[in-house]
Amino acid sequence: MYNLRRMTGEKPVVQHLIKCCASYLYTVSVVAIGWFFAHVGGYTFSILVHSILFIIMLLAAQFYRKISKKYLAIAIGYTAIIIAVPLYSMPFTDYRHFAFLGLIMTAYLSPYPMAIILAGIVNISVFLSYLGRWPDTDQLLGHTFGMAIMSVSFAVIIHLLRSLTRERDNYRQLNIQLQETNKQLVFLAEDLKRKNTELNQFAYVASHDLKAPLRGITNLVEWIEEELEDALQGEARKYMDLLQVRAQRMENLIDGLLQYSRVGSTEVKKELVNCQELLKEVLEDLSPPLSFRFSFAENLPQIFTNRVGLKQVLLNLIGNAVKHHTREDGLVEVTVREAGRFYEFSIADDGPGVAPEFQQKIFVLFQTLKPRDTLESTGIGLPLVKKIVEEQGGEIRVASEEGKGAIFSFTWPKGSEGDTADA
Amino acid sequence: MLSNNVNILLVEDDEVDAISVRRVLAKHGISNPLYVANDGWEALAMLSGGKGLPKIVKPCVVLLDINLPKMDGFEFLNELRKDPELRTTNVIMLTSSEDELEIKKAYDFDVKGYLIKPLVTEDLSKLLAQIA
Repeated sequence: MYNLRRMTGEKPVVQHLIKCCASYLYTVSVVAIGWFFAHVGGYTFSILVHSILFIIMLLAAQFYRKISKKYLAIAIGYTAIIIAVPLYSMPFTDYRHFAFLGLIMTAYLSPYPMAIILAGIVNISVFLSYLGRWPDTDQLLGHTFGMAIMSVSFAVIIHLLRSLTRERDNYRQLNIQLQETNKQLVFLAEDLKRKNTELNQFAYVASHDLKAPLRGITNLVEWIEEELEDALQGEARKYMDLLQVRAQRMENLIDGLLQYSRVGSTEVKKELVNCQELLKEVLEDLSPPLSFRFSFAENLPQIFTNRVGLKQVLLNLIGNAVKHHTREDGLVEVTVREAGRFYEFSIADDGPGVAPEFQQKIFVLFQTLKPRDTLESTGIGLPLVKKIVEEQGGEIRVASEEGKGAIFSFTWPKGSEGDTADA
Repeated sequence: MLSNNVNILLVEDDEVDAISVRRVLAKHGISNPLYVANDGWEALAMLSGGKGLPKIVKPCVVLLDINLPKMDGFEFLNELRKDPELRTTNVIMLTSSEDELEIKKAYDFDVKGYLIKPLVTEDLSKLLAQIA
């Protein structure tokens, strides 16, 4: 309840009580003024003053906001009372008590402060009618006091009811809004999913169609080379070689894009993966220089997961460590530790490292730190790794200083059936 | 090795790809007559003779691409298998599509093999040997 009240902006009950007392005090002060006017100018003068006040208030209300039906009802009630006042010739009865309190209630039920003011004016009219009948001050004060207490009690009860009603209404409104928002979210999620699929489809088709003419170009270059044989010399030879390297780069880029666009677009069957064996496979695929040294942790787990994705990540990270190393006898260490429902893998090398200013850039698509043809870099490797890791709900980061090696750490979910680790 | 009387009909719309096949075959001393059709429709016409195109006489083998103008590889296969004269024609797919659905679809049309571009002569020779 308390939280709901905060959510809906509902004021606490104490504040309601203060507001209610204040408005009653205001009503009483208006009564006092009315009494004063009646005392000074007589009954007719007082009615005149109230009528003018009434018109000013109506105008003011109209100026600030449109008049509600409730407001109009109260105004009509007020007019009726003014007309009825001269008829108050008989002694004060219980009937008039109730009429008066009814009006106060109506006023307090209304969400407009102006209605409370109007109720105050009605108050004055009724009191003025007493004034004409009972000039006895003690009796008048007695009646005023009694009515004040009753009005305040009623007002308090009505305010509490009102705040509860409002809370309920707000709650209902909130519920409706929540359902509406939920619907929108579901729609947006579906829309996003559809657009993502379309985008991946597009990337796939585009890449696929790009490959066909490229293969043609590669073929043609090769044939020209074959046809010309020894005639191809000097600059022409150099240009032909450059052409081939460019064509190769284009093919690498397209393959990278194809791979990148495929991540997450297909449902992958999970399987139990022995990380020790997976790393062995990675090394076989990489076939690094024999002098390169590798150290894999003993506690590598078995994970029930997407084997292809995890292999790609390890392949790229270890491949990078080897490819970018400046020496033939580099060292790559793979360690793992548990981090909640994830394993955190770390691939540390003693290579050239990554300067802090480039550590974010390396994960951005097509960003390479070296001239593009010096290494087979397409600028897709690390972004691909990042995409695969994030697709699994994990994170990747790099810790490095230039010249002091780099540590790439990524988290990978343990998987529902992966708790057979360290078996 | 390939018996010399088998005609090869290559259904391929990309000229470079067609040259590539021609060169590869020549390089490996495969001197079978090689015909090229640009689309499925043309290939059908050449197999059944007529429409002013050279008729391919049996025995023959079709090297078929999938993405073709006018009539694609699968439409061609569909027509081929309906034709009482041509339904038994040997077909080997030669395409860049590695889509498993397409591979399955091709074998459903009873093709003798599915080769991925670029053409590897050994693979082709093996298949041709099986057919012969």
